[in-house]
Amino acid sequence: MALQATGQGSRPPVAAADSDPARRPLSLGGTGCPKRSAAAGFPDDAVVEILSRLPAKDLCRSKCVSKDWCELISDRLRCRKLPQTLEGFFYGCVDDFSCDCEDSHESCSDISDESGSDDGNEARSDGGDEGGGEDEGVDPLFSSLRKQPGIRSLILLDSCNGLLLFRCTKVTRSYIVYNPATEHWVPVPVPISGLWFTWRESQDEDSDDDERTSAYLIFDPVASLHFQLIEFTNIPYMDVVNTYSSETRKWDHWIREHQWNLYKTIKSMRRSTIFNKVLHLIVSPVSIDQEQIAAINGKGETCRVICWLGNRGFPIFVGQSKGLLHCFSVSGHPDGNSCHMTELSIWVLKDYDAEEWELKHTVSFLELFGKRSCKFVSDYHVVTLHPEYNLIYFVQHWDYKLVSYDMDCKELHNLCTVGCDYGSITPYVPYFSETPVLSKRAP
Amino acid sequence: MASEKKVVFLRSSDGEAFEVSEEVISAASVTIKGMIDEESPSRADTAATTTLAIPNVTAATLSRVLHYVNKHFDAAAVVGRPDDYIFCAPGDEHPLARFDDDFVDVDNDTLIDLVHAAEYLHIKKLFDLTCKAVADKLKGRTIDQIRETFGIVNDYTVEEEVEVYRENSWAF
Repeated sequence: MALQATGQGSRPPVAAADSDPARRPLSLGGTGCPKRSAAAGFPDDAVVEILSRLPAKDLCRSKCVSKDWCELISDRLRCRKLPQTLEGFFYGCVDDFSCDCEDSHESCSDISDESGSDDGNEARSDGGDEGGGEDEGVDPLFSSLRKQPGIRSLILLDSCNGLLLFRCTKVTRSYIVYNPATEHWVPVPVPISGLWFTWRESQDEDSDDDERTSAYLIFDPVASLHFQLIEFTNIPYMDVVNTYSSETRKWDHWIREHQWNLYKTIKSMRRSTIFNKVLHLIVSPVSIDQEQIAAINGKGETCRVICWLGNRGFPIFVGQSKGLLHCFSVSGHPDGNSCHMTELSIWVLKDYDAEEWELKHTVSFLELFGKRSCKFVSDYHVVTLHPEYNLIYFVQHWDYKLVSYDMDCKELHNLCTVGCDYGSITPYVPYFSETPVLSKRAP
Repeated sequence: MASEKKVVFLRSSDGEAFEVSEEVISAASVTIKGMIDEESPSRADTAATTTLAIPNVTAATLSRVLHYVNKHFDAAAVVGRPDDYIFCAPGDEHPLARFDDDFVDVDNDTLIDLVHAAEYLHIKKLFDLTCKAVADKLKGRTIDQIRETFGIVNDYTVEEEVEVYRENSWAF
C-alpha cells in the first residue's frame, strides 16, 4: 500500500516565461508559506475570503487579474477555503486488514497540479510502504480508519467532493463515509428492509454484492454539509431503492418502477457523476431503446432522463468539466464487431434544458492507445475528466497504467502503474473543512 | 459590573477620538478586547477613561464601524441575548438584514476600507459581511474592472496574458 506522487505532466505548461521566479512548485499540504499581498495593500486573508465567495467561473476568470492572484487561486491547498480541484486518485482494494499491510493495495496517486510542472512526465513506481506521503495531505493507508474495531475489509466504492464511500464487509456490514483530509468518518449501517434483507441473508456470506448493488454518494458542501447515499439493489424481478440522509440518519426504502434496466446498468460499470447536486448516470433501457442519461435526486427518484441518440455512438462515461456535463461515446465501423470500437468521441451538453449536445473531440483508439480497436472495461476504463482542463484519465488494462490524455495537444502521458489488482479507482478532490456529521470516532 | 457602563475612547489614525461603551466594543472586536485587557491592571479603580490608538483606521471608517457595532449590539440586546452577536445575511428576515444591506451599499473605496478595518479590529461578522459585499461586486465584472476595484496593476506580459486568457477561456 503506497502513496504515489506522480508528476502530472499532462497539463500544458503554463505560459512561455521560462524563469519566472513567481512560479514555484506547489507545496502539497504546505501551510507555512509566507504571506504575500495579492492585491495592493490587501491582506491575503481578505482576498481569499472574498474569492471563496465567488462562483467557480468568476473564480477561474480572476486568475487573469494578476500573477499574484493567479498564484493565490491556483495554490488551492494553501487557500483551503477555496473550492478545490482534482488532486489525485485513490485506487485499490483493501481486501482484509487482518493480513499484512503489504498485501493490500490501497494507494493514492497524486497529480501535482496547477503549478505547471513541466518535466513531471515519468511516473514513480509503486514504492511499497515507504514514504507514506510525508508531505502529502492525506494518509493513503487510511490508518485512522483501519484502527477502528470491527472494520476488517473495506471496498472503495465512490468519492464525491472530498468524501469517500467504502463498503465494509465481514464482521460489521456497513457503509463508511470518510474524509481523508480530516480523517473524520461515520459508519452507516446497511439498510434493512424486509424483502431485500431476506434475500441478502439467503445469499452466501461472501457472495459478491457488486453484481447486483450499486451505491452512490452525494455531497455538495456549497449546498449542504450533509451527505446522501443512494443504493440500488437488483433482486430478481425487483429493484429496491434505498436512500440515506445524514440529516435524518435513516434509510428510506421503496420499490422502483422499471423506467430503466438496473441490472444492466450496474453490470456496465460506467462511471456516474454528481452534477447540479443530482446523480447523473448512464442507464440501460428496459427494451431495445437507446441508452440514456438519468438524473437521480437524493430520494433516488429519476427526476429527468436525458436522451442519447444512437448515431452519437455508445455512451461509456458521463462526467463534468468546466461546469458542463460531458458524455463519452465509442463507435466503430458499421460492419465491425460491435464490441470492438475504433473511435472515442467526447460530447458536451451545451444547453442542459434544451438537451443540446455538441461534439467536442474525437480520437481514434489507434491514435489514443496505439490499438486499432478497444473494448470498454476489458481493455480500458475511463477514470475521470479533469474539472478544469481538457484532460481525460484512463486506466489501460493491458499494462495497468493510469494515463492522461490531453485533448488540446492530443498527447497521452503515463502517470503511474496501478497494478493488475487495483480494484476500483476514484478521483480525489479534497475537502478540508470539518463536517458536523463526520467525526474522529464512531458515534 | 455590567451596570458601571465604562467607556473607552478610540483614536483614529487621523487623530479623532470616538467614545464607545467598553462592553459593546469588547463583545465586537477581539483586537480591542485584547487592548483593554492589557490596560486593565493599571487602571483598576481609577475613574480615568482609557484612550486606545487605532493607527490603521481613519476617522471616517472608524465612525462607520462603531455605528455598525452599536447597532448590532442594541439589536442583540433586544433579542435578549447580549452575548450572542447575531450575524444576519443580507436578505434574511432579521431586522438587521436591511441595515446590513444599506451598510455595505457604499462606494468601492469605502467598502475596502471597511474590510481592512474589520480585519484589523478582528470583527468577524463585519469581516464576513464586507467580504461578501466585495465578492458580490466582483461577480460578472470584467478583469479590468476587478483590477480597478482593488487597485491592482496588471503585471502580466502580453504573451503571458494571452496564455492565461487562453487557459481560462471557458470562464469568459
